[in-house]
Amino acid sequence: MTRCDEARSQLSALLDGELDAQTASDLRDHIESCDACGQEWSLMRKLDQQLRDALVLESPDSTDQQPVPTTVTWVNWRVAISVVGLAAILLFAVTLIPFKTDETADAVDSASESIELDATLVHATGPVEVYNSDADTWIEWGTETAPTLEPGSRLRTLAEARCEFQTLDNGKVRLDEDAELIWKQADEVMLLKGRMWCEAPSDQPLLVQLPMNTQNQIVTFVCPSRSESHYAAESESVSCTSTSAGNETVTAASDACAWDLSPGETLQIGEEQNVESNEHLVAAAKAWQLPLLALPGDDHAELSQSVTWLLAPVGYTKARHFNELQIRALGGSGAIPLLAYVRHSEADSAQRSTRRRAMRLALEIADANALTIIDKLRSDEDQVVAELAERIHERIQNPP
Amino acid sequence: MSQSEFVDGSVVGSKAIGTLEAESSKLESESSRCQLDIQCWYRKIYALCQAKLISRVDAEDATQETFSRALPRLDEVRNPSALGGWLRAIAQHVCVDLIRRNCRRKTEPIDLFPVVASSESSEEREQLAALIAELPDDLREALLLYYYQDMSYDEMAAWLGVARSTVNDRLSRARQQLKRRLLTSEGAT
Repeated sequence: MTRCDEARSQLSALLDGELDAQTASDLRDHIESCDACGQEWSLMRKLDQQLRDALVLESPDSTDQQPVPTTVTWVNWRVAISVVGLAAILLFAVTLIPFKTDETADAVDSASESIELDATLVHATGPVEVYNSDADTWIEWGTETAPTLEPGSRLRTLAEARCEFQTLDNGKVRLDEDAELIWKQADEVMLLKGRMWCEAPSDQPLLVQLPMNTQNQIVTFVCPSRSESHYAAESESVSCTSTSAGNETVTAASDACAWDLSPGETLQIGEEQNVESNEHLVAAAKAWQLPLLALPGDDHAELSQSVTWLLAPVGYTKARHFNELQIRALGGSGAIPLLAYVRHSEADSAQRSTRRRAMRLALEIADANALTIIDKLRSDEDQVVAELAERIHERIQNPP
Repeated sequence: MSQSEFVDGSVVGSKAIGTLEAESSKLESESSRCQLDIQCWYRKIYALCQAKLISRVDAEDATQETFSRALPRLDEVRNPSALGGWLRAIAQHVCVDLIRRNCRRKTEPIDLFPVVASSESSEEREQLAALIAELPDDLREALLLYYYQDMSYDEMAAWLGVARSTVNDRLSRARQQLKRRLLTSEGAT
């Protein structure tokens, strides 16, 4: 067997990162010095990419979801009581805050010196602004103002800016880019625009209100203590997803109806109202939060959990394709959490396939901001990861 | 949030885990271990079924059927390390039954992959699907396992019950064959 024959019989294993370091290095040297084997190698890589694109278990048409039939229910007495309570809150809210989403809307009377500070900005990926009603302008949160929010504050995120803040009693609220909300009081927020995720404090529920401008009403959700939920306020509709399997029932009430949401269910209220169980909506709710989980100072445990969940939904054949679409939609800012996950995870057999998937996805979306972390991954102990890091580096340095 | 919380809502997962929980009186920690294992096996079983049946629709049916047959009899398996081989045997029976029932297996190449919208890439994929369908079952299974599950050679060897060098050989031959035929067809056009 000539050196070239031997080399070609090993190309497949080299591609899969299954050769020992010395053999791999010798083979690479040979590929670089031999044109014919170099050409074989590039054909092999091209075929690998074709197979990767084709051999996915998911269907590109992942819209054929099968929602559970609508389960709008007039609720039990427990909820009925909460409806009465909510009605009182709504009345109070409507009296206090004539909600409007346009720029000229009045912010809530705030800034009373005696009011206790309620929420703290934990971190953000871009500028977050707070409305200053005295000056009728938006100012950047945390620069000219203290990194705390007073009851009645109104804040918004700009493009590429996602943020997380914490309530006094350790509840968490995360806001997607291009979103706006009013922090009404310790346990009550109103989402005016965009997407928001929250985890209610351990000892009390969090109230989330979503105005429906088209129908001139407010829908109020109660996220029970220690539960997690996700909200979206769009121009024609609002929705809420109960995002964790460990959640208590999330309740919702509008002027005319009330709903119970079990874990995994989503309530959408627009022209029609329906409750469905749709895993894709849970994935979409998780995906946009990834850039927030990869910020320095975090222990990356939640990042690891989220990436693993999004990239390894084994058993649900279409889910991964859809989940990857959600991450791709984040563009360059979606690559950082993927790379941070790879950097902070072990290259053991349990995580190897997820790490490689994360790298392949990052290869498509990473931009120059990812260079520092990619440099560190070029010496990863998993050869496939190191090779992919090399390719990402090449692609960023020499864009096609 | 647990990693697998809504994965359980999957086609097979929900049925599988539900049945496990209902029928197993094992400790909770043990049942969660079984749950994870089933999720790991799904793609392996799917790759096995698709290697034999080619059609992805048939492969999905066969995978579900495999788990439906296996779960009520799970307590028959005394040795956890034998579980993989046992599942594999059931899947093979299911595939044989399905082939017999249909008299022949379906070989429409387009059915190997999900349909794509773009006509250019769909033509390429159709050609690739046809070539994969022509591979011998054992080469096809190695290829599907690798790309569906990102398994290492050692893991594949353990699952297939063959030597690591055999896995290397099958994958290498599968790729060489595909590469050669793709080149030939490109040359022909």
